[in-house]
Amino acid sequence: MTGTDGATTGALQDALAEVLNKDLPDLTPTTRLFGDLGLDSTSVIELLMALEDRLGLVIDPDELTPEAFETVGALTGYLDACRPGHEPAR
Amino acid sequence: MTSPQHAPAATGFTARLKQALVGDPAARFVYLNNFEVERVWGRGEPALPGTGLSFSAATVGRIEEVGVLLADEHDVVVLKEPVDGEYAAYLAGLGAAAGTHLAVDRNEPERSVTLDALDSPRLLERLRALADGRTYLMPLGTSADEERLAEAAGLPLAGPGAETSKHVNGKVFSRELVDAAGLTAVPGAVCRTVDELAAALAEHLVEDGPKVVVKESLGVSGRGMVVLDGPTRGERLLRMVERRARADRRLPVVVERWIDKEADLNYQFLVGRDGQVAFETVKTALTENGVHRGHLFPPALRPDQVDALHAAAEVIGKELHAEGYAGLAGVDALLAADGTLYPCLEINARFNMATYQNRLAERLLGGGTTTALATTFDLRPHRPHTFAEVRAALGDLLLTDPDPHPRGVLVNNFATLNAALNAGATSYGRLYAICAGADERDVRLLRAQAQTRLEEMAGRP
Repeated sequence: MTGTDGATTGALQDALAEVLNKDLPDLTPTTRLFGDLGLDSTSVIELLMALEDRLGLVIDPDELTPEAFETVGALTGYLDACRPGHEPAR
Repeated sequence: MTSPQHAPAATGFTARLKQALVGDPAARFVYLNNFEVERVWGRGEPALPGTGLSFSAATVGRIEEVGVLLADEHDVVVLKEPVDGEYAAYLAGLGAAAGTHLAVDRNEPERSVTLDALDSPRLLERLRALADGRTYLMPLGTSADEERLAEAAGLPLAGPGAETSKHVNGKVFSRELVDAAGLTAVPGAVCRTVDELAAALAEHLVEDGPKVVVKESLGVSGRGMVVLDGPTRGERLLRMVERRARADRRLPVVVERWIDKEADLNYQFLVGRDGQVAFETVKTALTENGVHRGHLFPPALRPDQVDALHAAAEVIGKELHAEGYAGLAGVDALLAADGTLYPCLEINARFNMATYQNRLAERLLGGGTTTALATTFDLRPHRPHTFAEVRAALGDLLLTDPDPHPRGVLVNNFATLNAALNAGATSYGRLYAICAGADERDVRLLRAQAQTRLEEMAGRP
């Protein structure tokens, strides 16, 4: 996946499978979390919790915008930016 | 509208609403349908992480178009955009929307209709011209924003002010009222701090036990909540909450055990300024993961169950009045799979979607003899669609004429179909409709047929 590392995408795949309680197709950067995967707004807290645990980072929900949840690429980009010392994607 | 004419005392829901609030069934109401007023009530309150995110704000912002369905001939509805001409003609044909519509000067899709109105000098001038001593601003719910608008428009609020409204809409208030009144309560606890939340989860969220739902006291309907299916997720939530805890550790939430349901219910009643409580309707509420998906009415309830809800409404209404509230209240109740009736999960002392069906249902849905399914059609249009296209797509399914025994699909919000696309957002659109028919099977069949036809329409380039 371009612009992020495989660990973030893998963690997102696992977190989404846990929260949505179903097997998911392989994610691509353009996969839409709401439209394609069936995420709903009440699952967002659960997803954030699962991602924090898996990636060992603290997400500041006050900084999050709805756009970060539009696609897999948008969310992994946001998560990578949260990771300390991680070189931002170019 | 410089010489307002007030209709003779009308009958029906809106006359009862006006009588309860201002003692004048022929008063003129200026309806302001500020959906998600809960967001304003919750501002500055400690919240669960992530619940402040607003998805599909442009679509949610245009649900307010349903307000046109409440207006009588002499009433006014404030809107973010004028009603589409073809859709307005459709509603006129049904006799469903009688009032005058006033649009804000400029619709900012991400902004509430109230803030749009406050930023509308031309609209404010027209509203000020309505002031005649019998004209009132009637918001869905009242926050400080609606108080400011009432002042700027020179119109008194029909209902109580922001402070009372916020207080009685808290889930902590609901839960404490239920406990104090001795109504059947779902096992759970009121929490005011992070530590009380930890204690409540330790008590109620046990291995192999029922799930637990944690609801923000002032969360947005269907959003400020999280369902936890075991202690591991409870611990995770506590870790997340701890990291963000404020110095005073305040976190007003309600913790409740998940109850397997036979049906979610929603009932409405009016609380008069004089303390009189009048029951209006009870409907089956259709929800998925706590998110509202529609209503089915009349509900399949035994007379004794309906009586129990009437009794609960009396108790809750009296308490609301004691707190200074008057107006419409909607209460979520639950009929459990084991037959237990929990008459109050939460109080919404404001309008809700069911309220906007009241006038319509009295006039077009046979006063309860027709089965009705209020529903949404979630679509993925590639471009905006006209109402003429919707009409053509639904064809003979569309309810077009008043009928003592109606059967068909009545579109009760069109603006949400194109709102997201018009705001330059993703290909998402939603139509609100009421499917009317002989029984539940019939209305569900109608819904399925309409969904297929609308998806075909949305799929066309």
